Amino acid sequence: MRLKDVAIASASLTAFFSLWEACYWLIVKNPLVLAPPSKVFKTLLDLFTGNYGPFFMPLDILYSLFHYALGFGTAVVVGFSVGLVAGLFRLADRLSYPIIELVRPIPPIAWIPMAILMLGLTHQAAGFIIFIGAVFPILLNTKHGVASIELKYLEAAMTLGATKGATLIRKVVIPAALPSILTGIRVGSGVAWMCVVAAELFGVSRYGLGYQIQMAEFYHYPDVIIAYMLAIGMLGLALDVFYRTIESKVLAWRAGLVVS
Amino acid sequence: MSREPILRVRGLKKVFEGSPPVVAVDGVDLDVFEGEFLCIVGPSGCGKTTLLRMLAGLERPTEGEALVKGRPIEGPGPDRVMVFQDHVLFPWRTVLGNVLFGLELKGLSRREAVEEAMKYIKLVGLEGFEGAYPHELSGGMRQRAALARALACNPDVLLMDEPLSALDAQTRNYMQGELMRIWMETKKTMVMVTHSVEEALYLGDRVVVLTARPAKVKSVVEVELERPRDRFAPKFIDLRAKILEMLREEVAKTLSMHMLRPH
Amino acid sequence: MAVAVCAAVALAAYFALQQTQPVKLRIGVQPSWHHIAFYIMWDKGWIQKVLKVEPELYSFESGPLEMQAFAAGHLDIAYVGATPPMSILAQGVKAKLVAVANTEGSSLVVRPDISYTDPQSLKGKRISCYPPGSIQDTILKKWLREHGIDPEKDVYIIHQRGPAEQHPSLKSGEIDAAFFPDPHPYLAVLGGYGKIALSSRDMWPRHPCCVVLMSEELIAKHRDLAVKFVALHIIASQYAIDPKNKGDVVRILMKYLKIDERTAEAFPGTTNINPDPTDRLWLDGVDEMCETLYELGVTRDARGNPVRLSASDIVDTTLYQEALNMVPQIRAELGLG
Repeated sequence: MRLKDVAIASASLTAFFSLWEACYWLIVKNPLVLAPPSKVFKTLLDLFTGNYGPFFMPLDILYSLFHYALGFGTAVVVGFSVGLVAGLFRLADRLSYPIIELVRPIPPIAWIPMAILMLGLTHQAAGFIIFIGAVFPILLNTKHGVASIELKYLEAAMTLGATKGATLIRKVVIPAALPSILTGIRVGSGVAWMCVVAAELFGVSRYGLGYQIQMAEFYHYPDVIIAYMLAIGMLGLALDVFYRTIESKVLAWRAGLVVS
Repeated sequence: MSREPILRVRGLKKVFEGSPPVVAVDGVDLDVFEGEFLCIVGPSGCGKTTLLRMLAGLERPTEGEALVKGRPIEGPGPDRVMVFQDHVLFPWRTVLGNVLFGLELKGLSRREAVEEAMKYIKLVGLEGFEGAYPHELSGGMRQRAALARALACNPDVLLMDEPLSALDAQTRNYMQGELMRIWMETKKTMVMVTHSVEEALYLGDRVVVLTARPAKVKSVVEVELERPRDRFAPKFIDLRAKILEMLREEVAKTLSMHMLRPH
Repeated sequence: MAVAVCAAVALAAYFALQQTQPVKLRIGVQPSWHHIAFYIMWDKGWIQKVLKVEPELYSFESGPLEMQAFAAGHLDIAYVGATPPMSILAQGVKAKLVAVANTEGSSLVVRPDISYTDPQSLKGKRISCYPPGSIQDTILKKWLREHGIDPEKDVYIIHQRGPAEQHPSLKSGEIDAAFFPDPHPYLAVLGGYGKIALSSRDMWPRHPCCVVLMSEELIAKHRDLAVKFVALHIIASQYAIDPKNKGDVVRILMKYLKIDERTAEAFPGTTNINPDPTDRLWLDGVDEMCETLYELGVTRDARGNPVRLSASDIVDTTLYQEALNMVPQIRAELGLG
């Protein structure tokens, strides 16, 4: 990043934090309702070192990432497999289409009561909510990527000797569909992370960043609430950057071809 | 000639379903001899591409038989690799990656495959560009890469569907020379469809002239000229005029057919 | 220029109107018959009659949630357990406990298929409780510790926002037990999805429960109203436990708590209604609760450092004593004997 970019970003953030700080001291003035950035940063530090009562952020981060991995990992496996099959075979597509379109609009949050009834208040239940949210972008993007492959690539591969279906899938279909698949994964990851917080907020698990937001609410600690919210935002950003980096490395061949 | 043809086609016919059904190829007999450079020309839309695709195994004939080295053609395969008009290089692989594609399927070790691939990359004159992606190359270079990829499979017959039509005139001329050089070095049997009579005469040992749709063999013209051929030599010009006349006949037939058909 | 003048006029009018508005009294309560005194006052319109103000009623599922609103300045008076206020008082909110609503009156209810024999039989179970800082949470954790059970590791305490969440969870089997105040244990038993394992008085005899909390701003600005309110509270408490009024009390409970007659008939259950905050035993109980909250790490100052409160910090008995003197006159005003 160029120095100019860094300077602009810093200026923008500084203005935002100053406004927030002023807002607190001039308007709100109630430590049980809001916390100023000066307090929140000290709180963040204390949360990391375990100096703030029963709160210990590193453990919560681990648990949230665990829920994320559980749900998102499953979503990648299922979404990719079903998307691949549906993209390749018309029958599979027609069979799965109504079910997918019926279930997809249901918000993951609405699944929480079912998840609790079926799986109890367990990590699996949290993973399930995340799975439901993340699987559809992955599935649909994979299907679209696969179904959009130009026939000519398959013909070229066949004439070069790749006549078996499995070989074609491995060597042509998947590489050709990879841009769509990776987009689906990145989008799915974003949804998954939001579901992590939602699932934990509803008490599906006793640990995690979302759960602690609710605990902080019960204890009347708005600074802890905001600190956890910031942590959630920053981790979400880190995950997104991570996937974008992978995308740009794997899809280096697109560098001169597409707009970005 | 007393040689056995490496490729033998008898009564090959292709009808596409529809209402009404379209007869693209209506009984073609053809012999292709090992090591020869055969060109196929015909009026636009006559079915020459369909014929080539049937030889490649990408299209199933409705009737007739096609044998390569005595074996019937059942589907696509590396013994009859096809080079397409728009190269169809895999964009996610480098030039080397593309050329390796067929070699990977043969079970060679990585080192062996790369060695083999580099031979063909050098042959087509792309040495130094093996690490480039297709979109970074010019049109001519892409076709050369497609050629290297096809040749690396060591096919019995190399089929080419208007490989130079998408290039500009200068590059095309240059590539015709390159194609001739490569053919002479590899001694591969090559069958090329083209709509340029001049190109067919420059490169081919024989030129097959097809009728208008549905395609049948109208005539097979022997080109007994020394290579490299002079496009302005009297004999060259004569042959060209002869073939063009045949094509004009076919085109006229098509137009009159259209005029006679009720609208 | 014209805009500025209009704005100034509007602002002035707004402030003038504020001064002449009748005083609003914002009162928080919970769906529990611990707060029966308030519901009696509300039903009979005594607040309007005697205090000459328009009360606004806000209902909360549990104490900690009520205290959020109180801390944000949205309530003047709150009927709430003794412990939830302690969290916000420790952080500097200015309020006082001015009267008692009740002592005891909660029960631990388990699902009918679960057998409760002793505290150890709760190991590994999922117990639903009001959020941290509530009476129920405080009593449960103290009692578990006394019996050698670690509330963090040996049992699974789930904090739900209130009875509206606890009843369905108990019915569906999501949780194994629920700890909540009267009338909810009776609702579960009569509904067939729970049986009472033990009552809170078995876990902590004579424990303080609900109180009347008042903001110091109300006490300072409108002391007369505050004292009269306490007087009404005393009268209503007496009314509630008078056997002659049982029928009326049942009617009021059915109306405001939305429970059926059979459940309402169980009043007062294990609940003791007694408004006196000067009682030595009660004050000791409050001290003990301060100590427990300190040990549990629930009372902390605004920085998060643990704070130990005491009854003398948070209880103001002066209003009660003044109110006692006014009781006979107000009873006459209300037409009671």
